[in-house]
Amino acid sequence: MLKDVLGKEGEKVFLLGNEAIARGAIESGIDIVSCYPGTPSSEITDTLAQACSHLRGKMDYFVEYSTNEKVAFETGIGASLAGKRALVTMKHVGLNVAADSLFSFAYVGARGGFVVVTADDPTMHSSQNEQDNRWYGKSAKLPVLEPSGVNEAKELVKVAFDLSERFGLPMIFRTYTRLSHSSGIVDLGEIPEKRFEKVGWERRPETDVVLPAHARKLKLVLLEKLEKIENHFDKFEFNWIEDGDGDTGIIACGLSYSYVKEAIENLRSKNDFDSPPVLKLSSMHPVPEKLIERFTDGLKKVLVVEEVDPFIEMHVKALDVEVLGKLSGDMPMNYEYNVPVVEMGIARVFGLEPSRDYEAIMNRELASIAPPRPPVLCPGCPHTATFYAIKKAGGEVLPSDIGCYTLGINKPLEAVDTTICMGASAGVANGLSYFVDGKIVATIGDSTFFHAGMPPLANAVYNNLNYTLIIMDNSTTGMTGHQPHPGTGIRACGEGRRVSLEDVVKGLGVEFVEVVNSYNVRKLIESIRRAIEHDGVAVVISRHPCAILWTRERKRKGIEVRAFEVAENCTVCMKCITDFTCPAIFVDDGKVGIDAALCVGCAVCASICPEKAIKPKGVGR
Amino acid sequence: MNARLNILIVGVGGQGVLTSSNIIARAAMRKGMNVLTSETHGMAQRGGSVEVHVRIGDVHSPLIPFGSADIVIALEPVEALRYAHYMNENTMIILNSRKIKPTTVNVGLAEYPEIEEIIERLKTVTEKIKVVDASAIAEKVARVQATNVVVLGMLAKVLEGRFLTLEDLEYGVRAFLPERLVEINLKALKAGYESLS
Repeated sequence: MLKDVLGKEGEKVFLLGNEAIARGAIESGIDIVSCYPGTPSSEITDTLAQACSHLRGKMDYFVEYSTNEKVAFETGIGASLAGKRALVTMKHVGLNVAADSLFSFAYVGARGGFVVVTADDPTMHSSQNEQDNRWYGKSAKLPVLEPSGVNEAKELVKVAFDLSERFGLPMIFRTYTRLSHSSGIVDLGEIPEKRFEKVGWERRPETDVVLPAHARKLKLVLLEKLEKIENHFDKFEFNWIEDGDGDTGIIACGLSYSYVKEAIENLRSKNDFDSPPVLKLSSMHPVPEKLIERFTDGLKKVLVVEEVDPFIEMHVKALDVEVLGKLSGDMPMNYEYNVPVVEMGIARVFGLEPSRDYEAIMNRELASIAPPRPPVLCPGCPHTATFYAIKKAGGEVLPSDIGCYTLGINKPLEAVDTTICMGASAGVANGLSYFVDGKIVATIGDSTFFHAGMPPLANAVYNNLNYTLIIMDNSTTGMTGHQPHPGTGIRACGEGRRVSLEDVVKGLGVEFVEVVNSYNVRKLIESIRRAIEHDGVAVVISRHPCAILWTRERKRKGIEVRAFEVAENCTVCMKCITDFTCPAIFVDDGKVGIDAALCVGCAVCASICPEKAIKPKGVGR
Repeated sequence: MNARLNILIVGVGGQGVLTSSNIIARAAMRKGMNVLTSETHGMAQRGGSVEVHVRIGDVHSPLIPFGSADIVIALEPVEALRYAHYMNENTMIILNSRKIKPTTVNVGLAEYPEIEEIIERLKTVTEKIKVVDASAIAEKVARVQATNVVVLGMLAKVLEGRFLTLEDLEYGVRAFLPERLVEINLKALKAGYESLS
């Protein structure tokens, strides 16, 4: 809660992991935060955006929702080169987008503190893959930190800024779903006093221009910095050894440390077993080899417990000790950890019995009669109307993109054929259009279009390709919590200017551009038909605010939200269920009804009903 | 009970599961106890199934281990079944009997089981089930949106003074909810507490 995030020094407050990271940034006296939202990272910058105006005049900083992660990263680079502190936040796949900047900035080095927070998503709760971003540290030759809990997350952000400036290195701060979306008690520190202050520009082409002659020198400088910070990590206060008995030890990485602690306690309640030596590790790269050697000295075996990939395990393998973990088959290679997973792994390695029969518990079949409750597009969602129109207009090949609208994959819409990554709807449509016989209608959200949809659309114009792109403009970044984007003209903190979608599309050279209200299904179908018939790339902007925001806005203005109902003349043709879908429409006892508590009054179902049997509540009785 | 309390709250996106966990957390902090919670975000929020783990006392992991929930609060009946792997033979279940049918049922792709069948299944794990109509109590004293707070009153009752009291949860309501919602939710909390004998 914002009130807690803004609490006074010395207070103990209850914060979400992402809020703790935001507070850490405030206590670090950041000068700017930039991001593209993505679960599970979004609340970090959302919190800093909310806090911004409250701290104005005391601890000044800029907040930027950038068009994409690469842009966010480069905004951070600019700040760092000006000697300012920059926090950049994104989800794990966001760093793929920013990777080009990351690798080169490693060579340039940080001037003002630079911390990029990347939030991994083990088990893929809301992501398309399960990548482990510690490899970016290895590959780009940059330090990676990973906290073991909510309070430590806040502290480690501050340390990351200090280390970044001390060693001249951009820092990668790795969090993941279970840490970002857990809450715990946080000890608040001091918020520094700081005003906005412009600085003079100092040219340093020998480091800031990575032309080959410079880069060849800078690589050696980077390696030297990395060696220095590795020595620091050998004595780092966030890495520690806990003594124990036996000749088998455990290396517990980040939040896995909490699972290891609890698993050992559970195992001790069931078995005659002394706590083994534990190395708690929060510096993931460079791997502090001397510290690990000190820990493994005298041990025969060591079990590594870490999220996603066998990253530390592979590094430790080079040492003179038997290493167990994912590669040895003692820990699972896929999906996120928890106490039972870790407890079963430790039990296997130490020859113990788990405190509970977890496998039997997991195999209980109680939920077999529970009807599935998948996430659905909200009542009144303009995307539902758009997908309905695409199918009616004759769309046959349907590449789509990343956002709420990915749910258009579900029955009865089934209007999403591919989802790869941000912007890939238009990108994949380019390739499909060379070879596939069928009417290609690609869908992309407004925020996603600004993020990565413009280059593939320019490509389509340039290469004379032929397909229809529907920009589903709900005037927000819906999925991640309604962040603004260039098309809204609203900024995170302060005034902004709107970038017109239709102007952008026309500017890219698209000749067929039409804008239609998403709720006007008849017009939308006609427009999409024309777009499909158009020879060349065509764009239809289907525009209506996200139903959640629309309803919120009407309530704020005191406008009545009028629900719809099914009248007597319903013939139960079921078109509203078999062709269309809305969580507010249900079938009970062979009759169709509308849940007035859920209906937002968009009237789309009324417009598609062949019998005109759906009417505003209280009308036509 | 031992030095830790594991409460799992499950329901449907929009039922205020997160609010409940935040109120409990502040109540626990008032007592000077350690507290950790873990929640579901993102895609699951869109009318999907939601779970929040609340752990009080001597705990490290934000997630309740399987089979280790002391109390399960199910704001919706079938959601209790979906999270049965957190229960053991001593788990106390507070089951709100008000159904929220998923779209899969609304459009005839799945069936919603009878409440008796749900309870029968849960009883294969634990006998300690309190079936309540918290939604009806909420509608009577406040509005249906306060169901999540009514069940917290019930929680205070079943805890019988261990870990958290009604006063602690009243503090939690005051500390977490916006001021305009405090009075009505204190009523809901009390009504929930008094509804259980």
